[in-house]
Amino acid sequence: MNIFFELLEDGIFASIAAIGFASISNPPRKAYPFCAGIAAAGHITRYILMNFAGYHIILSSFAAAFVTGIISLPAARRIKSPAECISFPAMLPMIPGMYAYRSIQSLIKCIESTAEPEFIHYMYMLKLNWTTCLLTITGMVLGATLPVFIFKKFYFKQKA
Amino acid sequence: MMNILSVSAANLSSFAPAIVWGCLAITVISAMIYSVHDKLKALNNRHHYISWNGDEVSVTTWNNGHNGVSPDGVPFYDTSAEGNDPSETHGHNGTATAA
Amino acid sequence: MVQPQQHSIHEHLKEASSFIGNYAAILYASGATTIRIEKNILRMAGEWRMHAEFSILPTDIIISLWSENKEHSYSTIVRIPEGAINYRTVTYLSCLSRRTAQKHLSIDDARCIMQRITGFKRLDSRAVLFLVGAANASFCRLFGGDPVSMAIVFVATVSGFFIKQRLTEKKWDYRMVSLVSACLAAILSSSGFVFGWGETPETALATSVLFLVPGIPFSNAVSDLIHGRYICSLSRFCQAMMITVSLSLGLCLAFLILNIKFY
Repeated sequence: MNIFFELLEDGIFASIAAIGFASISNPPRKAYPFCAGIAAAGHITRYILMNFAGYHIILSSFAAAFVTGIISLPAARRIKSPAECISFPAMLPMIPGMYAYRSIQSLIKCIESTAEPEFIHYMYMLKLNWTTCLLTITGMVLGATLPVFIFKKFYFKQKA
Repeated sequence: MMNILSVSAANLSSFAPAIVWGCLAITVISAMIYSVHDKLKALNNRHHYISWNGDEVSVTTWNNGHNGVSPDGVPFYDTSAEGNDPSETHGHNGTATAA
Repeated sequence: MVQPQQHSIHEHLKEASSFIGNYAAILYASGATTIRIEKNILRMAGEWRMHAEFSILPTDIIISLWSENKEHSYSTIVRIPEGAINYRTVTYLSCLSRRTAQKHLSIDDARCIMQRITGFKRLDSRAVLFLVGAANASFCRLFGGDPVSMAIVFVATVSGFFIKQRLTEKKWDYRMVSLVSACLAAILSSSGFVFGWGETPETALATSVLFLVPGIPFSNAVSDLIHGRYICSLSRFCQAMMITVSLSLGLCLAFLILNIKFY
């Protein structure tokens, strides 16, 4: 039962985060509920894969983005918008922002460091954070785009 | 889950509380000014409390009003008034020079 | 001497080229992926019985339209205007492209509809401010923050985003805007450390600047990379990196001012 509430909490906060960050990109009004629901589904998937199955963030994000992409196809067809107008805002809660800015901070610390062990430590942090960030984002967009290739016929037969 | 930023605030600056409150005050004051920005602008247009229009040229004069800058920003020189003082208008070779 | 029929074909090509160039430029500025722009252009050009050859560059779009029998052509270069991401515009312009094909709209009709679409107002800035604050506070919760940290992050985010909105209105450089907003948000969110509020001050500090991370530009860059549009991908990636570096510098500046150590 605890697990259910944990997942529910994760989903609710992910959907609030998705609505908030999506509002910056001004999506159509009808897209907001879909963004929220799809973000919740994606984030819950990632939570389960990372916390219960023990997968790395890159693989979990790819799987979560694939789920997001699959659900956003019929949702986009319903509100007559491109799939990326729903799936990209829905994936915003999963964007690894912390890894991105930590890598820049590690770079600054690298330059500031005076001894080799310190430099090597920050270089390791820089490479680790930067690679994780880049591969996570790539995995996410790849995951969201794959359903479009797989279900091409379904996707491109939208009515105006 | 992702690792949280690892920071140490052990040697926090002694001005830290003042800095935090100061930043909050700046934000609140900016928000207040922004909310009444249009009304302030209208008030200033009527009474001209603050003028920062760089296009306006203030009229200045020198040489007892004979030389100066007109409101259009064009300088003017009243040459008829300068002919009375030879030491100002003649250079080393005795040729007339501009004032 | 140009025959009257050739003249009208030429005029038709010129009109279509001008419209499609502007259409593509507005789509790019609104944050559409390059593949989306290409599909929409080809659909409309096909409807008006033209062959479109085009090149989408980060600063300009070059359109060359050929008549059906490939005897006449008209080329246009349109500069991409500056603009914020607007998925509403992207959605409606994509709809316009589909309607043009299905309801056989003329160039004039399409132009009228496009003018109407570009005139729509964005969501009210105060609503966006509140939603972004709530979003970042939710982020704090997702990273394990307690309610006090969430409140701190909400206040810091609202302040940072408010300053970002005002500085953007004053046409400041976007990098400086990110730096100043990130610095302000980080200083305000470090109140957990300064005043001892909340059990998870690190979470508040770590998540306070996440509202500035350019998620959509990164996603668009990778999408362009996947579809083989490498120049646009690199350009969008560089822009996203500029913003990320600026916000990191803002965070570092806040750490410097408050003497917080990162390790």
